[in-house]
Parts: sequence; structure tokens; C-alpha cells
Amino acid sequence: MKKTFLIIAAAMLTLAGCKPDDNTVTPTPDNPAEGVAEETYAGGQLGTTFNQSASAFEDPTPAVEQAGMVNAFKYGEFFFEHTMTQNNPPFMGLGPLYVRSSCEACHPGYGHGRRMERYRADDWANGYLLVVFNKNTGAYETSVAGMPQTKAVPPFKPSIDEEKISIAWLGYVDEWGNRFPDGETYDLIYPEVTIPEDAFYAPLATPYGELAFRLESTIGIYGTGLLDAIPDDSLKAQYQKEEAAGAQLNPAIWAGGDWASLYGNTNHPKRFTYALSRGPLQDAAGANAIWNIPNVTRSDRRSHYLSLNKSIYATAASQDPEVQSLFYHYFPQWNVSGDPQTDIYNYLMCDTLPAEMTDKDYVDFMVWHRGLAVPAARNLGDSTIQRGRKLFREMGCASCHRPGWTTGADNFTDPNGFFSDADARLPRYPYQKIWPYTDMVQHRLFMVNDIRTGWCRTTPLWGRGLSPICSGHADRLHDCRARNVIEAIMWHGCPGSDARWTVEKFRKLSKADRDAVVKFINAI
Amino acid sequence: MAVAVTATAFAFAACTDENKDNQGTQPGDDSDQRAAAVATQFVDNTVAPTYTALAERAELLAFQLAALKTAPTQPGLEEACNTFLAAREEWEKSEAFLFGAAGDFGIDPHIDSWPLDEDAFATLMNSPAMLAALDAEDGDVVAGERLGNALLGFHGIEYILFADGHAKNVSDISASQWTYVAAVAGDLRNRCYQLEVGWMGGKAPASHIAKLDDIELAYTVAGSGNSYGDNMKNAGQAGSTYMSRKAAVMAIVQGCSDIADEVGSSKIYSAWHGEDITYIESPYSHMSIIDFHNNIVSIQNAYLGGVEGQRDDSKSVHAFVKAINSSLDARVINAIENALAKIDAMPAPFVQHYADPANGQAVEACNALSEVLDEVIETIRKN
Repeated sequence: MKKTFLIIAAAMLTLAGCKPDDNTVTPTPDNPAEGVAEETYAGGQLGTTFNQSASAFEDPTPAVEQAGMVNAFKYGEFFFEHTMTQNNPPFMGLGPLYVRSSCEACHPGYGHGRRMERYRADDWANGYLLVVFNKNTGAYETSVAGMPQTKAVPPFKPSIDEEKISIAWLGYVDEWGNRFPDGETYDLIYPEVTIPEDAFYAPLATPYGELAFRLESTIGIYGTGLLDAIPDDSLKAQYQKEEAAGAQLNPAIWAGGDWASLYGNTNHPKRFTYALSRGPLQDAAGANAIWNIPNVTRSDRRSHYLSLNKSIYATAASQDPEVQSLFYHYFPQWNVSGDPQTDIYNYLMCDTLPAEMTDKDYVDFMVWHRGLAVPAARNLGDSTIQRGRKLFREMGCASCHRPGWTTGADNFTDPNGFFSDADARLPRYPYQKIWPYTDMVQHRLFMVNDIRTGWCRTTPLWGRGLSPICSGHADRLHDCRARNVIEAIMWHGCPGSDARWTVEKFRKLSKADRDAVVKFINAI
Repeated sequence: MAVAVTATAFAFAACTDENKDNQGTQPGDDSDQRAAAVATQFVDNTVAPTYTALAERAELLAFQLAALKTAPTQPGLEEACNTFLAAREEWEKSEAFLFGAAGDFGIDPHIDSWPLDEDAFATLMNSPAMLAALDAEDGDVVAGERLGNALLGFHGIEYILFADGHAKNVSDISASQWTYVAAVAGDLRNRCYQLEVGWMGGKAPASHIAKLDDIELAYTVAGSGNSYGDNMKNAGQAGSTYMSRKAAVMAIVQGCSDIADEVGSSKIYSAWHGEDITYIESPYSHMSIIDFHNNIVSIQNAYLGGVEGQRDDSKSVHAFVKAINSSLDARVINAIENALAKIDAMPAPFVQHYADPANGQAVEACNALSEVLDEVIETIRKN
């Protein structure tokens, strides 16, 4: 039944493709050259770079250049690339718990994290965040952070001892025996994460036996400014269209023809992260991560990122005799009461900490963040790529990996109030035709050891074909379980998957056509 | 309306141009053959000799510091400082090719992060267990795995060996500091092996390959198992990450543009314009300007078809560009020479003269070099 609905949906989308309404269509022009001309500019005229070498994810957009913000962009870039220190300006942070010592360590070449055989915060390109949650309810474990920290500044101890974490890569055989009808085979693997109870520093809030562990990798950062410029009402129209087509949508996000929840206290929808936990970019992705990954405080974030229930970690640390004995040695300025237990607790719970990052540096950082260009699509005029492009649309992949959007006026907002609406200090991308290949909506693939909650926002495909050059790997999906495009596609075909029907079509393609689809995906 | 028409016209014209990606040369034609020769010459005569020299010097530095750890002497320290500077010179001469192994394995931030985290360093000096681990036979591996980038690499070693631009007095270096610096130099050597073996594959010394295998450091291109050198030489063929030979040449020039931009826009500009000393790299050895100079030399070596003494003009990017647009090539040559001249005119040491107006001229020269190299990339892309 669902399949029928989805086929109808696909037909509707194809029909809709004939309408000249930018934000409701997936254009498939009769003349391929027409599509090539427009789609090559993946980030639009204001957001595309033609760099296709190792630094392709690192360039400023034309909008940054036209606004005279290149120097600010370069300053901001420092804070992404540099290893943070405890007290050496201007790169201060890390305290007292942290996930990584630099942003780039998680986003190799500014791109997607790499598949790892072990979890070590200092292993380059390890973009994994640990996800610790109640397997019955899906709720995060509150004795650790939402992004649990495995590193700490002395005398503090990390929330989880990373040397006790194991990642086993297990083989998976799908119902087709990992084999296409023409006999070609593929391999599928997935991670099984184990964290023993004694690896946790603070008392668990959930019985250990009820906990589950997963990995979620970083994705590329480029183009997030452009995604932020997609109008809220265009997102809403996308949900309406998918709902009308019979697609199942996450009831926590959308229900009964309208938003079920919006971002924080704003009237903006959620649009960033796999879990759709974030709304406007100025309080999402990097704006958040510079604070809670290397733990850098700034004027509008003057507290520590600790356990979800902060007092659990603060209490454990304050009662730890080893921490007590060394606290005043490392933090003499916090000897307020003479009682280390009290002072440790107050230090950890403090929300008036000094800012480690200046406001100017934060503005530059956000110029950089909002200013990263998307690599232009490569060789779209190639006949094989054109064939792949056509098949991608015909099979229905484009239903979720929606090719094109048009940005609005881009009068962006900041839920924190640090930036004013359409703040002139940041680059903007008004009325750009962009090609991210995502519907910005969550769907479910029902994979073994699936992502927490099962709902995952469709990841943009733009630029990903350059990952081997820019990031040194071709790994895909939220936990990097796919080592190439074919594996990524086939993981979409699990029983019950929202994309099952497209994978069934993909399986039936000839080898040449499957290769054309892969070549197209690597070209955009 | 006029603006809109212009924009539309631009979009149409630009889009037409974009379709030329990798269609201007076809496998087997003359331009494609020349691109292949450029890539091979770059791998064998620019990258390989630079990383070979870097690995040799880093190996010597690790050897000298291991000896000094047990028997420190002032002449020995000064010799090690010279070795450090020699290794540093090769590293800076490699920064036009930070793509490939240096980027994929995170070697650049691993061995060249700054500033040193002084608080973390102080903690380490008071951590007997960690110092004992660094003092053990596998201290190099412990350093690489446990210290974190802010305590590793050239700048950690520089912090111990140098003060105010000179070798320290050997009596000012504590036993714990010798333990630290010897272990960090061992890790630096390992990572320089990783660069060398990463690009040269089986042509690198067998002992270096064996060391990497022993400590389980990866050195091949993910997916194919090829060396980075073969990956570039095989551009356009199955298994290479470069979709064409022309893309390989563009990657070489992009690497040059990126480092020219970094020297101008970041390394010099940030300290000069911001008048902020905290943005200065290599402050302890007073080698910042030498570093900048060698970065431009790395561009020269990449563009002219080899390190000095191993150049083959006929197989250079220079000749490749000259065949397409000789005046553009002449502008690149002039821009390289101008950048070197303006950097050499900066008053040394940078850490004491970072606000000098001459630095602004060096910024302009580096930015101009980056811009003309970007023109080269665009020209190659469209031809």
C-alpha cells in the first residue's frame, strides 16, 4: 500500500517538474544542456566555487568576496582549523570537558568524517559523536552530554573513558544476498558499539542494561549558509507536498498539515542536524559546535557544556577526592570558599564564566561558517552522467534527495540575538538557485543498528563526490557504514525503508546504468 | 533591469564555459600527454626529493635528541638546532603540496600546530606517569597517540630548543623536557616517514616502510591502496581519485595558490594587520620570515618542474601554461619572484617587527601570486 502511495508521489513529483515554480519542482528539462548550465552552479552564482582540488570545500563564496569579507573569513577560518589550548590566546577553550581539540579534526578537509575502527578523540578525521540513549524510550542518557566528552583538562576526568569503547564492524547480508540480479556483488558492514559500565565516570541515570550506543558522524560544512537561506515557507511547502503524497513524516516535527514543533522559542522550523535539532544557522551547527566541541566560551555562552543534567557530572567531580586534591593547584582563582567540593561544584555549574573567544573573533568565525562555498558540479555535460541524472530522477531518488531549491531574501535570524536580522556583518545569499539534493526532511531507512529514533534528515549530496580528494575517503551515511556510493544506496533498501521502492528499481538496472547513477552522484 | 540583463547574460556565458570541464583535452592528445608528464615530473622531482630530505633530516633530529636526552651538551644542542632548522626548511618547502598524504592523514596539524599549549605542557612536566611513558622505548608512539596536536610537532620542539632566536643554554633544559622533546621528535620523524612513503610508496626506504607498518600508520590512498604519487601519475585512469590528467595539473596549481594565499592572508596579514603577536608562527626560533620564503620556494619548485638541480622545464606546469597563454605564464614567474623579493625585504625577526609597513607589501605580493595562480587554474580548466 505504501509503495503505491509512493509511486503516485513519484508521479506527482515528475508532473510537478513541469511547473515553473522553483520551490516545488524537480526540473528535468528535455534539453539536457539547459539543466547542465544551471545545475553546474551547485551553490548558485553567489555560492559556488570552481575549485575541484583538495581545498574545494574550503573556499569563500563569491558573496563573501563581493561583500569585502575575505579577511574576516580568513580570521574565522583560524578558529576552525587551529587546535584549541587552555590559555594561549586567541585559541582558548577546552574546559574542563571536551569532545575534540579542534573543529577540523572532525571535519577532515571541511568534509564528512571518516569510518573509524576505534574511538579516539585525537585520531584525525574521527568525526564520530557518541550517542548514548535509552533503547526503550530513545531518550538521551543524562549523566553524559548529548555529545559525550572523552577528554578532560586536569584535574577533571572525562565522562567516558574512550580506551574502553569498542567498535566492531559486523557483516550484513541483505535479503538479496548482497548481489544484483546480474551477479555483481557488494559488501555491507555496520558498527556495533560497546561501552562497558565502568567506562562511565558519573553515576548513570538510566539502568546500564537499558542503554544503547551509536555513532553519528559529522558531515561537510560547506553550503550551510545557502541552506539557511531557503525560506521557511518553502520548507513548509515541501512537508505539505510529501504529506499529500502519502509519505510518513516524523510526528515530532510535522503533524496534521502543520509544524508539530518549531525551533526553541522562535517561529522558525528545524532544518539542521540528522535529528533536526537545530533551526537557524546562527544557533546551529558551527555556532553551537565551537562552544560544545572544544568548549570555547563566548559572551553569549558563558557556561560549560557538561552532562545533560549538569549537576550529575558536577556532583561526581566535586566529590572525587583526586579532583579535590588538585583543583586549587590548577584553578587557584576558584579558591573562593576554601572548601574544594563547594568550589568545584560552583565552577562547573557557573554560567558567568569569562569569555574565551572575543566577539570580533566570533563574528569572523560566523563569516567563515556562513561563507563557505559549494563546489560546482563536475562534467554534467558528460553523456553517462546525463544518463545517471535522468535515472536518478526516474527511479525516485529525487523524491527525498530533492535536487533544487531557490533561496529567499535571506534575511536570516539569530535565535541568540547576537546577530540582528540580516546582520550586515555576515554574507547573504538572496534568490539563488541551489542544488543540494536534499528535501531537508527526515525519513527512515530501518537499518540494523539504526540511528537513534530512526529518523534522519536527508543528507545533502552536493560536493560529496570530491570527498576522496578533499577528505581522503569516500565513506557515507550517518555512521560511515557505507564505504562507497553503491553501499550507501543498498543500505537504503532495507525492509520497511522509505527508499525501498527506489532501491528495488536500482537493483534492476543494468551494470552500465548503475555505474551511470554512481557517476552522476559523484559529479554533483 | 540593466543589471538583471547583465546577470542573465553572465550566467549564460559562464554556464557555457563551465561545460568545458575536462573536455578540452582528451586522453591521448598532445595536451593530455603533456599533463601526464607534468604530473609525473611533479611527483618524482618536486614531491619525492622534498619529502626524502624532510624524512632524512627529521630522522637525524630524532637521533640527535635521543642522544642528548641521556648526555646533553651545548655543542650537541646547537647541532640539533641546526638539524631542526634544516628539517623545518624542507617542511616549509613542501607546503605547496599539503594535499594528499599531508591532508588526508592530518599530518599538517599533527606536526605544525601552534601555539604550544603552555598550560598543558606545564601539566605534562608534572606528570611522572606520562613522562615515564614518553621515556620508554615506544615513547614516540605514546607521544603521537596521547599528547594531542597542541603539544606535538615542530613548535613543541622549537619551544624546548630555542629562546629568542637562538639555541638555549643547555642547562636551562630539564631532564623532563629532554624526555618530552626526544619523544616528540620521534613522532615527528614517524609522520615525516608517512609523508615520504605516502607519496613514494615502494620507492621509499624499506626501513621507513617497516617502521610505519610496525606502528600501524596508514600511508596509502583510501580505497585503492595506491601511493599518492601513483594516484596522481595515474590520473584519469580507474582507481585514481583524479578524474583527468588535467585535474591533476589543476591540483598542483591549486596547492600553490592555497599556500600563497595562506602566507599572504593568514601567516603575515593576521599578525601585521591585527597587530597581534599571538598570530605568529615560529616565534621562538625567529624563523617566521625564512618559513614564508620557503613556502614561496615550494611554489617555485612545483611550478618550474622540480627542486633546484632536478628541474625539467619541458615537463613543468610553467611550460604547460606557457603553451596555452605565454603572457599569463610570464605573470606567474614575475609574481613568484616579486613575492620572494617582498618577503626577503621584511625586517627580521617578524616577531619584533610584525607591524612594519614592509609586511603589507609582502601581503600584497603573496595575494597577487595567489590570484594569478587562480587565473592559471581557470585557464587550464577551460582549455
